[in-house]
Amino acid sequence: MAAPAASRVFFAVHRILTRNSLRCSGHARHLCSGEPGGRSPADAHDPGSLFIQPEVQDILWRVTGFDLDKIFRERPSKDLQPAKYHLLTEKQLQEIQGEAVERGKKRLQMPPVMTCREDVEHILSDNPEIEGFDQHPYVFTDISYNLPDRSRSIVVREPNGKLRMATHNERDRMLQVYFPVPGRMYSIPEMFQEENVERLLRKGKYEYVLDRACVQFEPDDGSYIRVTQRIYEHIASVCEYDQLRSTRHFGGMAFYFAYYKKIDGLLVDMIQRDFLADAADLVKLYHILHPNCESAQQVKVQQVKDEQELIQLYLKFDSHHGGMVELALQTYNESREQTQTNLGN
Amino acid sequence: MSLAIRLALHGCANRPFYHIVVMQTHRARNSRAIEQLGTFDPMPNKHDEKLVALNFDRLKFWIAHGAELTQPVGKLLGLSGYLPIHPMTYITAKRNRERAAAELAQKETQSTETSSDDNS
Amino acid sequence: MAAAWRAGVLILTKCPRIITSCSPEWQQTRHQCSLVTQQLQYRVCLRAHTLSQHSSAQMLQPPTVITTITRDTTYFTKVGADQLWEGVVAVSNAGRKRGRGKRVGRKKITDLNRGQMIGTGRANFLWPGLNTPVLKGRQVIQRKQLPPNPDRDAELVRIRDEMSRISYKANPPLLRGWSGSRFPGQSVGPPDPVGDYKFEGFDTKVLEFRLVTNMTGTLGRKQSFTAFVVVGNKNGLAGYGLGKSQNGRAAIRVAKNRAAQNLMFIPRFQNHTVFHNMYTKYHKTSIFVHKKQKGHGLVSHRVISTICEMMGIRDIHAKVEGSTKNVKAITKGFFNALIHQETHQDLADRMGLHVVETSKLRADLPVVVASPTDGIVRDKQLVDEEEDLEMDYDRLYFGGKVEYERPKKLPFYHKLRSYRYRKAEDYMRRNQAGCKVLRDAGLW
Repeated sequence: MAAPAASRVFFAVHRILTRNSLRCSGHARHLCSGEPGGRSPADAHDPGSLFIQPEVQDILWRVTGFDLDKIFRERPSKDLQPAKYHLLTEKQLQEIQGEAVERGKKRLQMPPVMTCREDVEHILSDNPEIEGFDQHPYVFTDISYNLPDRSRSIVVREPNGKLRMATHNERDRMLQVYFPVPGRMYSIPEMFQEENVERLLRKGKYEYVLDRACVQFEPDDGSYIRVTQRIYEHIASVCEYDQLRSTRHFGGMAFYFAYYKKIDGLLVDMIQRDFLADAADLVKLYHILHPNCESAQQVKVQQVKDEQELIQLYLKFDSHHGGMVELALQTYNESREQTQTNLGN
Repeated sequence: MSLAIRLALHGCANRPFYHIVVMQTHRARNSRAIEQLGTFDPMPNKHDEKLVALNFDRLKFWIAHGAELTQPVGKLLGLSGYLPIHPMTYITAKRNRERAAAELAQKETQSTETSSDDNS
Repeated sequence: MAAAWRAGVLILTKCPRIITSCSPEWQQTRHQCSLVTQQLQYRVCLRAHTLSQHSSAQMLQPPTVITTITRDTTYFTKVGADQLWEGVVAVSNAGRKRGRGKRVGRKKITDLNRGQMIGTGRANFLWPGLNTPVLKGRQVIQRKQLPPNPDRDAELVRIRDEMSRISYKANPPLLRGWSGSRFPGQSVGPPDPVGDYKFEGFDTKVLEFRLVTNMTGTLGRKQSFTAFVVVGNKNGLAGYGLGKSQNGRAAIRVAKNRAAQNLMFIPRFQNHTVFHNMYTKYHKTSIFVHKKQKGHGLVSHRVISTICEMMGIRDIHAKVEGSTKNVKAITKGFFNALIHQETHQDLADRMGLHVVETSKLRADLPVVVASPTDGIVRDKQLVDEEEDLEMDYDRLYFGGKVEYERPKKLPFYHKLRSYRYRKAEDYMRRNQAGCKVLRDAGLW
């Protein structure tokens, strides 16, 4: 169920960003939750527009991985049905496997990274003559067919006579009343309060919280950004990046680290698991998000032959905790040499 | 045959809930409508709001087909901003303000009387 | 002196033996006292001797012979306890013909030896070698009399009273069989060890326990117990056996051991179910067996459920058609079917196709369970192009048979208009309870 919601949101966001509608005000061009770790992004572009770029999407897709066994792992279900068995020819088997791969790709569709939305008060009409017509505000929702959620008009007539556009929270609630998303709750579950998120993180339930956050919130919701960023920080602190591999959340996490210049931990993890191509991709992503950084300039100047060189360039010029990465690279090279000598013997 | 866009009272005892429907005027209030165009919940929810849903698309269609609006529907549409504010809204608002002012004045006089009694 | 004589005579007559009292001068004529024991003779002699010393005058009187007929051995001493009890409890041949002595109120044998230990009696003695060891370390224990036990008789009476009371063993619920305190469905322990092999992990359950009669020419009705049991180690080994005996427990024991001799290996899929659906028929009993997923449980005839428990099958659905009472037929048919299962690998090799599993738990991800070992996979899928058969794995082993599906019984009011309106209302309110739960939980 999370997939359809995410896909709907994804396409809506894409349309919005290309059409320039419902943008936040010019001043607030950074992710709502402020600068974690006191580090500001080098180039304050709107992360949403950066995320949408095809090169970035390609890199994130490659880095996520594609383990069908993990994507379709056994999940507990209430209605038990016996497994079905089929006797297939080679051609039929390949067909059915292709279909499974397609379904797997759908499950890996990433929830978009967007700038945090802000409530701008937009008054449509001010009628002080009708002040006192009622004690409660009236919320009017347009339930016309086939309107995208983001362009549905929801207005509020206050008891003081003002007619204004509904705030984002009010919009979410009204849309959930009249066009409910399965899995989404009308009131925000207590699970997303900070203490409860911490408790779940201690238990290691990263994917669960991320999945539920994806269903419950819109990607530009402040709560969503707060929860997801907190989870990414925690994963970095305990170095459990692998839990999100082959899930839809890995791309968002990689983008977050690259955007906030914290890719060292993730690089170490990738090198340790022999994903050198992924590590190089991550550095490339870093360069795309921060084109004015030193190593990016160096790459343009120099001829970079292979992945290790690219990573070394980054380590030399831009890395802050490069020691661990260098150590990991060293270990990787040593083990490769050893295997080669073993093979030779 | 005349068409009307009006409120049909559903819900149950002590819990009213209105459907905004288009139907022929001679038919019973709650009988099957030609089309339902929205809802109106007169009881405020836990966020203290009164919810109104309106299918403006179809509303436009039926008004164009000569459907009349009843007073409550007219009021709602006026409040929503789709149509000009209904005159009765102005009058109701004024009356409410006057009543509230009178109550306030009465309360103040009562409190001054009691305080003067205490003093004396 | 006369009193002493009489006393002497009295002592001797108390013993249940044939004795003759004889005057002292007849001591030599032993032939008349031939039945007197040495001890008694000794006594008589002693008495005679002492008496002879005292009065010679009395010896001139004619001898008084007092004969008291007492028996040395009786029926009670000649015959064993079993036969004695027969006299009390048993029914005559004529009576048996009329069906006497078969009911509940018939007398039962009381084992009088219960509560008594050899070497102890009313006089509490320690007999070294009998009820105490002879040597205690280096010390030799002497024969010793202990103070008498006053409660002994009362205790024996109590034990014998309790024995005569009819008590039905109350089995705790988890150990009960299919019904009540009857044997079928009950566990009767592992089979007896054969040489060194101890049958660890094995258990047996009784499937059938009957009392059968055979009319013989000589004895008339000859009854014996038959027990049909299944033995298994709950991990792929199982077997069934039949035992007969006059005694119920013996029949079960014989059956158990016979079943242990006939163990079969039952191939299972992932140690919890069969490989595929199958159909089997033995005499008039047909069984449709269905493979089920983990957590389904044993949904089948109680005989089949019991057998599956012993085999280690945990999830199955079996429908018995035809004769559902013939326990032996069900058992034999079921075992036959399970032994002749085709594993996934065998099927792949035979058909020359991939065997692929798709499960809802894994969102229909195709998992190749078995491929042909030689690597050659057939091109066309149809088996018989004329009949255009499809490879429906669910019905592959049914041999064209179709399971009878009982039509769902609709309620008698299903045609009433009011019921149709009610159904419409129920549909309208289909999610109200769910929404209420969410609201109450504060999640809405």
